[in-house]
Amino acid sequence: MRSYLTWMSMLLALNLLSCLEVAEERALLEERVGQATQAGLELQVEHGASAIRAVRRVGAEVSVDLWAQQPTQRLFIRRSPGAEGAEVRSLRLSWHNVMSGVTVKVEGPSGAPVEAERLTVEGAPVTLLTARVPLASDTLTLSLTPPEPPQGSAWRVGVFADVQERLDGLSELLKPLGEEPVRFCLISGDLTEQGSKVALTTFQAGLERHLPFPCYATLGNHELGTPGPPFHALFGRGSGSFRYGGARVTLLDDASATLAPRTRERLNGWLAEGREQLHLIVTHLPILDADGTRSGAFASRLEAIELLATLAEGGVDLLLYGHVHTFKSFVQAGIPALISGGGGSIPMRFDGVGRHYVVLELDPVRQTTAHRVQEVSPEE
Amino acid sequence: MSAYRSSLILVISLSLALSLQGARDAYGERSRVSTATPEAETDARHEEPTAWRRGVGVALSIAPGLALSGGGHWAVGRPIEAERLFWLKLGTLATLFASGAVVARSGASEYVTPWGVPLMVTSGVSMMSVTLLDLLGAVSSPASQPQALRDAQTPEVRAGERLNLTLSSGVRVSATRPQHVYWGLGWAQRVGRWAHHGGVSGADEQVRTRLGGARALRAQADWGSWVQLAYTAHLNQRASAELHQLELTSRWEGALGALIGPTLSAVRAQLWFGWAGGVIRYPLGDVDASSAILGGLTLTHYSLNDRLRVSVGYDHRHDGWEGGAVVSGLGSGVLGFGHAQVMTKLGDYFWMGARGAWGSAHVYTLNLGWGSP
Repeated sequence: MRSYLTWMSMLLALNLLSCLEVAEERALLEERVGQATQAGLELQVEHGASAIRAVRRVGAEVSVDLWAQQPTQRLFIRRSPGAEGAEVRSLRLSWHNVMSGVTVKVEGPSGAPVEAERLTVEGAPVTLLTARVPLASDTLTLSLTPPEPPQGSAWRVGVFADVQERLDGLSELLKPLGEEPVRFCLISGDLTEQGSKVALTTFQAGLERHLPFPCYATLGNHELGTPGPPFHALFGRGSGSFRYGGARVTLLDDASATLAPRTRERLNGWLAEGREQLHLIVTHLPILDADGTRSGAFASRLEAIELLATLAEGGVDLLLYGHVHTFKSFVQAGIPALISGGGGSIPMRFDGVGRHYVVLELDPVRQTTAHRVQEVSPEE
Repeated sequence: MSAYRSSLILVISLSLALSLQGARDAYGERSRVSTATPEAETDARHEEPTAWRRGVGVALSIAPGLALSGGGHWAVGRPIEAERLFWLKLGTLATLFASGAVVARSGASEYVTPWGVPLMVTSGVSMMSVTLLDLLGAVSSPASQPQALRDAQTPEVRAGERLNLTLSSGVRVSATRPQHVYWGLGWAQRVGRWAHHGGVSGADEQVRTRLGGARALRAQADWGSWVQLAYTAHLNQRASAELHQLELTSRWEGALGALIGPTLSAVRAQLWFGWAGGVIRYPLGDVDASSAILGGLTLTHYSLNDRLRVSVGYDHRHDGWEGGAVVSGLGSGVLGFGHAQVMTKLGDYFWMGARGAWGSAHVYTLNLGWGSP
């Protein structure tokens, strides 16, 4: 009987080992991104498109620090009822990771324009927008509209992933990338080794120091190394979708080798919205292994096949992956796919590709993409 | 969530009740006919450890279990088995670290991962199995162990039987699909050195069929080995996608527990390793090539004159109903799934079993089997 109880304990331990709701917990966390009720104000970023990193009050002014995860932004500001809200006279915004040349528009409750004062901060990165907005009414809506590429013309975007333990050498990758004529950069996960708050903050500082354009990132399995994880508080949602320059970019958090049911439901909406657009899907883990023997992909191949079938039917034009520390170009379910995981972590040996990033050229009119692999150091 | 956990508890309770009934019958039988081996009889003269020593044994087998094994057997006065388990654990640890280091240093090179990752995963699972064996030995008495099975278990066909038919039904739940019905039908037949098998299973607008054969290379009392070829087709009607593949595996089954000592003589192991290749067909007509590494380990405890079998194991398969396990903090999709099964014999021909499997989907089934001698 004792041995049977031992077997039963083992059985129950096995049951507890494998979780079904790991990704869903993060999907729930994402729904709170871009919302804050603090210092007499209620703030809400539409679609959780920015992370509200800090809200501080100094006298009658409230400072709000945000990190954008999409080019277009809308921030709804409401004065909280009570004495604390009544005392707020102005708002100082520090909006990081926005496109230079972004247009700022502030509207009062009836759509009446409100003048925002753009501030110049000595030595600030070009991707930082600093502005002071008077809070004359109880509600305000602030919009950021990025400069769009000329109608009908192709434009470029940078892609990289898997910096991980090479965070101290981030500048070697970012300096040449910063000279590329790209509109923004996409990071397909594993920005840091353990996803700690300090490491992610260092990563963001590196981006601001070296790049004259914003970067939109999803998280990788390495970002799950710190409980929380802190990624959402610093970068924002790992899953989101936006339209820019006639194309659609959808980032999906598949860091747990699966897609959360909530994310899957949202994906159906994004696929419908992007059906007529050039549509890029960015994930950290390849949905299905490129060669099948590594299992560096979704935990369930049945789920992966089903998702790829959905993406193919949704008219997706390009899949962008990280996780595997090399460069690969292949086709899955009839969709061109690129793996670019050469951001700096231990490089894959014997593959002939060193540390690199990818420059994509997107032509929304012809609905085509082209890519160039830029090595920043040969195979190590 | 609570409903499927309740179904799990129900399945386990039912199995336990059946097991206890089987145990009562079997113990009655054994009191009339002794089946103990000479080794077991000799071993029975060992002093039965006190409850306190067993408690220490359990603690020593679990507490340092990830790094060190043998403490459980040592505490209950079985130093020879303890030493064997110690070296076995050391071997699996060394293999785990060596393969992990090679995979990491190569940056998970394509030339290394096809063998390095399965080796790493298998050694990791073996490492945990050694802990389980130590724990089992710490709570078991050699004198109460029945004789180990006389012949090796052919894949898919139970020992002593020529034909097996199995009917399974249960519940499957995945992160993306709530609980839904799972069912399966299986057939296996031994013909000379061959064991043929086939089956069909289904769940949530998906059907899987399987057909194959295993040829015995060696089939002895203590161990046997086979090479198995199978064709698998998975049809997902909801996504209009299909997976077709051929699987070639090499299998070994043997009395692993007896190699360690009499406390574990009722434990046998099955190991397999192989490759699968095929195609995935998508709804718009696109076709991708597919390949996969297959492998796994199952430990089975045979007891009550082979009227009760309890097994736990690991399967590296990622394309089955279970998928690979999704473990918090280990998100790279490398792991396969774990499974456990309790089977009890009802009369001369029928088996009843409960099985749980935990990957990115959880599958709980009740199985009814018929076996002809």
